[in-house]
Amino acid sequence: MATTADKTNPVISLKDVSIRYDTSDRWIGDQIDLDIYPGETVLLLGPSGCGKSTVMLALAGLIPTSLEADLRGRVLCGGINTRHVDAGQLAGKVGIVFQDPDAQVVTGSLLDEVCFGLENLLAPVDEIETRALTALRRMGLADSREEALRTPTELSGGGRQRLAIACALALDPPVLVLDEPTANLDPVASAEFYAALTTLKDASRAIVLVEHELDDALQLADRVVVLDGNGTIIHDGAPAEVLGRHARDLSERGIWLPTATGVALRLGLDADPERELPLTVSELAPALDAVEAPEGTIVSTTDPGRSRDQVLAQQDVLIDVHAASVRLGGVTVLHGVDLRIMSGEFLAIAGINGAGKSTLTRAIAGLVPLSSGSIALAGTPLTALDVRQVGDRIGYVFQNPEHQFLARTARDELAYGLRVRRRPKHEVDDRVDRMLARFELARYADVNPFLLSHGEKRRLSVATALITEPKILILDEPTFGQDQARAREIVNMICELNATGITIIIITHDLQLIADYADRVTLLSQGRLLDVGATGEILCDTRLIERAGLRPPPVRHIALALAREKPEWRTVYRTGQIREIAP
Amino acid sequence: MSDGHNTATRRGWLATINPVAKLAATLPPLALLLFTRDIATPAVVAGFALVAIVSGVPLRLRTLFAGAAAILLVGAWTTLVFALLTRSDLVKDSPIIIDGWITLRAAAMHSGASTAVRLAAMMMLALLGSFGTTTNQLASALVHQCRIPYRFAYGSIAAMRFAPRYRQDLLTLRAAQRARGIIDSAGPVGYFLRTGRSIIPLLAAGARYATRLSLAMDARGFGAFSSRSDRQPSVVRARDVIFVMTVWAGFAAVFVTTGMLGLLSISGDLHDPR
Repeated sequence: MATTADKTNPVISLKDVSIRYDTSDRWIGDQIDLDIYPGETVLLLGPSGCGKSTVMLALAGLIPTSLEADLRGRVLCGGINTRHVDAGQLAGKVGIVFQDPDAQVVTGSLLDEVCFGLENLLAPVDEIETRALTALRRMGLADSREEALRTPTELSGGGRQRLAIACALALDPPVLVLDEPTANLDPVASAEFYAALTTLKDASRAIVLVEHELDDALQLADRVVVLDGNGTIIHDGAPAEVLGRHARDLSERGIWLPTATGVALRLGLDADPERELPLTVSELAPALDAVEAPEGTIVSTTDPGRSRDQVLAQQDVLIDVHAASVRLGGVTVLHGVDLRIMSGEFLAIAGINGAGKSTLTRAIAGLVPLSSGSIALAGTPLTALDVRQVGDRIGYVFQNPEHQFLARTARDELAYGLRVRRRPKHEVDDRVDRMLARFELARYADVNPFLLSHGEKRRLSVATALITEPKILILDEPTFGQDQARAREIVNMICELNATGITIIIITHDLQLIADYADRVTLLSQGRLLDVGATGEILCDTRLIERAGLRPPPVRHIALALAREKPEWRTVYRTGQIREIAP
Repeated sequence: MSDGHNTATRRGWLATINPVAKLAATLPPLALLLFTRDIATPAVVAGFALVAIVSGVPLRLRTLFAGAAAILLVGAWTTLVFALLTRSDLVKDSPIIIDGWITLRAAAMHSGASTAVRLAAMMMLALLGSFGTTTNQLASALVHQCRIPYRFAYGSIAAMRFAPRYRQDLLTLRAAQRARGIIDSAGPVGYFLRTGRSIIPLLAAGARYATRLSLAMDARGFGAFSSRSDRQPSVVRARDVIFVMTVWAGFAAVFVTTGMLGLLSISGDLHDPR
């Protein structure tokens, strides 16, 4: 991707920048110097909690104009020092799209929404609607004024994110900043979002992008800036240079890599320091010829799930869901689902937002009542059990750990489930101590759960779910928004639990996680069961995956492309099928 | 606006009245109604308000019937409750009309009924003052007619969009806590326990949401200048003045008429149970 940037006049210029929130002692960024030029698309990467979002807020001028924070150094937005303006006055210089589609909607119609910014900036009244409609049309949201009067709630998450771009675009800012814009989107919506974003790339506009999911974002980027754990810039350059040469370093820092780069790294292609690792599948194909191992042994063609299938087929049915339907607020959100879950299996539930994934798992845990059908746990009907009796059998970890915290210290949090069950004190103390040690939380025994870091909160919430020794653990999006290192840590923990015989039911957007670890997959679509089967069979059926509104997992996607030349890749979907070769 | 007229006819004439004019027209009568103690005056006011609402807002027949049924039920219930609450020494001279396991005297029933009708009339006026008003109209009117700073007017309206999300959060939170094995007893104690536990996580989520929303608004220039363009600025037109004058005159006429007929009864003491 050729850089057409004019390198003389930066649209954003950071000099010696460090930021500290009023509530914290920690300075984010060690004298960051960063100039962004017109026409560039800059991808900003870094491990979880490194301060990417903070740096982004500073370069868009929202720090210090809108948020209480100390800013050292200086930031120029379109030549204006952000220290010398008030909140809102930079809107014409920098447009921003945030992660949460819900928290950006201010008005009741698409048209009003796009007009909002123009009105704030005192655009002439007779121009406002024309400019708003142009922006809506450009993002494919409305062709006529009539269509533009729809309410934003009618749009999907992806539609609302495109609406957020339209809102920024209407003000025609020279810089567009996007903070993990697709984090809450389904794979297809996210691809559509990037397609729409690509049309905005031109010589006059700069785009700054923070994103975990790199395969889509890299098609757009012509510069990558990497922050370390403290928010200090450690790499800055063309994607081929930064990701191609420093992939192992980035991976060790916990930063997600493009799938093709990850595969190349696994095959030890970074052994030759002269070589840049591939970023895309088309670059990966020729690079594979350099692998030292004999052609046929690069990947394993036997489905790794097969042997597990036979073991599981011998097991008892632990959860029997029969024709289960759920109605919420007068709407049927789950339609007659039949599902048998075997003792000891690792079952994944996938589907787009609103497909009924959480409703199904909540119904299994007795947290929402069925309108018809039945669910039995090891032969006992759910209706014969109260919440606590179900809790003895099923531990449920919600997406947001904070939703489940009830006590003032981590120790009390763990003890809670046992105390309400009136277990003797010595047993409570003993089990809590063991759980604290097992999840490496002993240091935080007397700390308020809300003050733990995100990873610690997650570990604590899993520990509280396991304290009653349930045989089934349900996890709702446990790796959401985590960097690679943390996601790996969480997944390892889940796999260890599964190995001790605990049945795992996991809801996740991350189809590669499913491909790598799950025994079986349940696909839901519009509240109905689309299919359930062995992971390999489901994930290799591209048409089925697309019917569910999803995309094949990244490794599968690459394998399909490579299989045209190298047939041994035809059956690959799991990262583990690719041979790990030390450099 | 070329299609402004169409929108107006589709949404009824009440929607075309300035929201501030509607409030100005209905709030003083609403306050005065507090002091009436008879049945006729509020009943006539409620009747006129109802006629204005039905003619001014397109309501579906079903909505209308459901509303009427609700008003009758609530009215009957209020009558009974307030009749029972009336101090017995004040009505001991009036004839007994029900004498079973409760004793009700005619004066007590009258007092209950007048309270119920008063409440119904006040409700009607409140509806008349708010029906057909969109949040955008209200914000614009508050800025232009009441000189309220636009940041405050539009900011409060944006905050109202939090409600559906808050409900969703609350449902998830309840399910999440139930999964921890909490069983709250039914009734007020369980309610307080449940609420107490929900407050901190909900406030934390609410504060985060508010920060995000205000950042998104600032990023789009909210508050950049002391005023903002208004595509449909709220103006006071002749019809708004006529509306206010008509409501006030009509209200005064009702008072004068019932007063002359000897039906009107007024008390300055809001606790006066008469």
